[in-house]
Amino acid sequence: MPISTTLIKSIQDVMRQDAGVDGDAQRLSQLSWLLFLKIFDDQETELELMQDRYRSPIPEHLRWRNWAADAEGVTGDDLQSFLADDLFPGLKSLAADPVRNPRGFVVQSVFEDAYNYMKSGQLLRQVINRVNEIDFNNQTERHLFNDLYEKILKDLQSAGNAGEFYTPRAVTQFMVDQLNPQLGEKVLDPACGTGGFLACTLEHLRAQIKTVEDRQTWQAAVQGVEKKQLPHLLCVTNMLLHGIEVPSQIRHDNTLARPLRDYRPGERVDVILTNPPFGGTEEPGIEANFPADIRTKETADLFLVLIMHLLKDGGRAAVVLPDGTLFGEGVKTRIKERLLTECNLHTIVRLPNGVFAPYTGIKTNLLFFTKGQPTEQVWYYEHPYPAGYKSYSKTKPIRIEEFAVEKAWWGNAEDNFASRVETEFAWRVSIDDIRARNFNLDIKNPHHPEEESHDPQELLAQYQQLQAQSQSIRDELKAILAAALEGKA
Amino acid sequence: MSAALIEQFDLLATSTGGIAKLRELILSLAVRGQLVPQDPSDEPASELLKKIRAEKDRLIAEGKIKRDKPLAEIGDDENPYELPAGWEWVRLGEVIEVIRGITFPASEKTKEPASGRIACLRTANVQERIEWDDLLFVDRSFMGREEQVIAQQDIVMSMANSRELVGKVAIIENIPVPEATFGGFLSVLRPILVLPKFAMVMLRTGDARSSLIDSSSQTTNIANISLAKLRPLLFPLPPLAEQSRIVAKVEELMALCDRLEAEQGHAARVQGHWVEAALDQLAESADADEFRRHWQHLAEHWNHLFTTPASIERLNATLLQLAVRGKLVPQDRESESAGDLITRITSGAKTAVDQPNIPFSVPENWQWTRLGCLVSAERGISYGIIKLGDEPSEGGIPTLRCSDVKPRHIDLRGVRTVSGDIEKDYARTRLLGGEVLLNIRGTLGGVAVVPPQLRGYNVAREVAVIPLHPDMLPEYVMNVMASAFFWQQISDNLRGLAYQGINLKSLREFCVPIPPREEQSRIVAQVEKLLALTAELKARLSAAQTKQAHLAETLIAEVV
Repeated sequence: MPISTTLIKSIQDVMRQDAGVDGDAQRLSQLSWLLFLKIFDDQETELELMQDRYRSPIPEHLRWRNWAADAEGVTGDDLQSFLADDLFPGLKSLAADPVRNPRGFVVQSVFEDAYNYMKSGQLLRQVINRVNEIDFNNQTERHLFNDLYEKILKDLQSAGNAGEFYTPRAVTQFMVDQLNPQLGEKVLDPACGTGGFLACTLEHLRAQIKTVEDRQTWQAAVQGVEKKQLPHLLCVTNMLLHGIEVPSQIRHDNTLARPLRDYRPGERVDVILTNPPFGGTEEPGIEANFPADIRTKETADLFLVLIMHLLKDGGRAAVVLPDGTLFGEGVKTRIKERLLTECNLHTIVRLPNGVFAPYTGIKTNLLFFTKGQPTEQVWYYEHPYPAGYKSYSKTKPIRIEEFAVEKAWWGNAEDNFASRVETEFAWRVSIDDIRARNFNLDIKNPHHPEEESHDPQELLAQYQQLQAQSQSIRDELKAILAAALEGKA
Repeated sequence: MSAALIEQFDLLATSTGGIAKLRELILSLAVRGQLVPQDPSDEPASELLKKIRAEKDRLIAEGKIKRDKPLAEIGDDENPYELPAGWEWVRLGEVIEVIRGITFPASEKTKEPASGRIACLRTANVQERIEWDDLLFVDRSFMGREEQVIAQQDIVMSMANSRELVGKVAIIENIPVPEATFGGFLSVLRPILVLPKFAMVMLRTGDARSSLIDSSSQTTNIANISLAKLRPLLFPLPPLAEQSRIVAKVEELMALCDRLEAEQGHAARVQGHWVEAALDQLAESADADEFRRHWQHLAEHWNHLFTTPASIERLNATLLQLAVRGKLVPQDRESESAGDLITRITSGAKTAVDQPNIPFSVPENWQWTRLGCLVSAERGISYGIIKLGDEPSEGGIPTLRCSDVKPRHIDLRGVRTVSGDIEKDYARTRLLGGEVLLNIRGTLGGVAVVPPQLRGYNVAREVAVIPLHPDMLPEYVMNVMASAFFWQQISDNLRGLAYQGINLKSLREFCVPIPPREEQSRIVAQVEKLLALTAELKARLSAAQTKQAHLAETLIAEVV
């Protein structure tokens, strides 16, 4: 069967019949570890061909090829007990350390929290057989699956609880293109989710590979940290799909849980690309890892501080942040002051509403900055909707082609973007003006009347404000007339 | 469904065009399977699809329909949204037979039926429902195939129309003529084992409408939908049983929308009448006691009366009425009476209006007089240039026409000039500043005071120049002329049929209530202040309406 959404749909349909799997999240979780094992196994087939001395970190009887690949193989209760007694315990307890047996470490960390939800061995066998129809060593199939995988991630990552939203492909691509990471640089996403930025970076760097050494450098180019189990598993699988042999650089951890001062200079990176969770708050205690004057519970702010800290001198970052961070006061003001002092925040691309539709209508911005010099001026670019769009939606998402104008306008970091010009959509603001505004970076396009908001809460507030204004005028009118007319009466 | 939409439902439903948006939402939800719950025991659409294919094969075998070109398979990336379990994406052409209308020479149609002639539906007959009056009849021989005879439950679609209307559909629910067919700009869509009313629901969704419009080929002013574009249209196919549940639910909800719409319309009309009545009775109160009661009614319901831009317009009119009745500012018995003022202006000539002719009673030291008496002795009321001639390419005298004189202000954006040769004969209407201008022909209703910077301008014949005596306050007279009773005098004296106007003789005779000079200033100031407030209020109310409509749109966009 060719790879298509129909295949995934048919797998899901089988899972639906199972009494144990409840809801999309569990289905995705179940599908994820199955896909992981299958992809891992297919990759091993390739590695065995290329490397004479390759040895699988997985015990022979637990390898996919030996229990899953045969369509007529173990099924029913036998399959269930194999999973419960052999596979899961075996993979969870792999004696693997990240240095000597990194591939084993990956498997072990992926299975740490994985769980078999399916209750029926027969149905599970059907699912496994479906998964077996995909050959991940076939380049075209792999390619197709990559797209498909991205879609699965998008579909199932419906509105996260801790403010995590799938970053549209066009946005990750644009951010990667503009930062233009080079082979040999270390690229980090401290809140990597399912690995959108990292995968995009890998594809960007792939073009720069010339030699075998380059290839090895490439294998170690990206690092990611993800707090939640499922996105972490998905991210690791994603890395495997993009050709990373040992995705042990994707850690299952909370980046914020580590005190800032614990980071050694050697851990700093050249490039950070991320869409940190916003709106979410961290568990108590996390903020204590940050300097006292910038302690806050808002995750987006904490990440911003962390990013400044983790960048090397001269390191570059592109970060997705909500409007709230731009105009926020208090701790946010101090964080922004620090950002503008320690880094050159050269560009803010203001995205319109709906880029993250349907997960959130919140307005977002892409901040591009380089560590090491203070900011002198900030260039703003207001990304317009394509002609005829009133908002983006699931069926009309933002597309990479839309960024062509920004790219043409962008210029060169070396000459501090000397070629940039003010346009209908681009304007610049000096650091003095920003200081005078008390670091409120929420600066509207002076060339354009403000676009109507598409956030119902915001609109409702504006509506109520207009009503309140009307009421006060109405009161005033009534008072004047009452004074005039009641005197007459 | 979005919680925001439910929370703000009242705002949505009462917004401008809110019900239309609600209807669209209902249709959108219907074709997404979100309006009625799915029933797992329904036979899935995939089975229905098999039956449809079998039925099509049968019809083809019987020669009832032709075999169409196969449609492209639906790609994975084509599905605009996720369907519920048991539904299928199909292409319209797979489940609906499309039949094109007949063509005939224009000379062949008649308005009357006759033997051998068949009724023929045209674009104009396809409205919300099929409208069966104004039918055309053509000879039956123009019909190529029997399938071009209209049947019950056929869906008629407009295939060539303006961009907004192309793709419009209506369903045949009764056929009041023996037999009917349809013209070449229409098509009939005949669903095969699919509920026609469900197909109607689908074809009326915003999605389907915009797909059809976008796929149409556009000539100068006609958009055409070709069969090649119509048949591949994506069609969400629910199980048959669910189709009828959806249709029933949509009909139920649409009926509710109808009622809501009717009631809102009714409520708006009642509100409008209420505002009108409350304001009128205040202005026309016979005595102080009545006035107090009427004002109290108004004051009590103030916040409910003045909630729309239209109600503010109405209030403005009343403010002027009150102003010229001496109700807006207190009288000062010490000041020179209006009678003395007018006597001074007119050098003692008798100018008062006789008691039976006065439009309403005014305070004690006021005086009714005629407009002609207030005019400066040297100039008199006159109208301007009769034939403006061609606009000179340069130079010339700026000349105000009736389109430049608006209620209470002069709009200088469209002013044209007249050559000095023509203008020199109209020195008497050359403006000095401070005159009142009134449109007496053409677009009536404009009345304004000439600001000093327009000195040297002239006016056209539709505009009367009223140069007041220096002791009169032109702004006050303008307020009088803008108020309802004065307008009544104008409408009572209109002359002419197609091009109505008033002549200067009757204008000079119009009654004007005059307060003492000092009180005129206070009235003008009070009116300015109140009108500035109402203008502000009106702007906010309009903005709130716009905002509300936008909010409604956004709430709906969040759901689908």
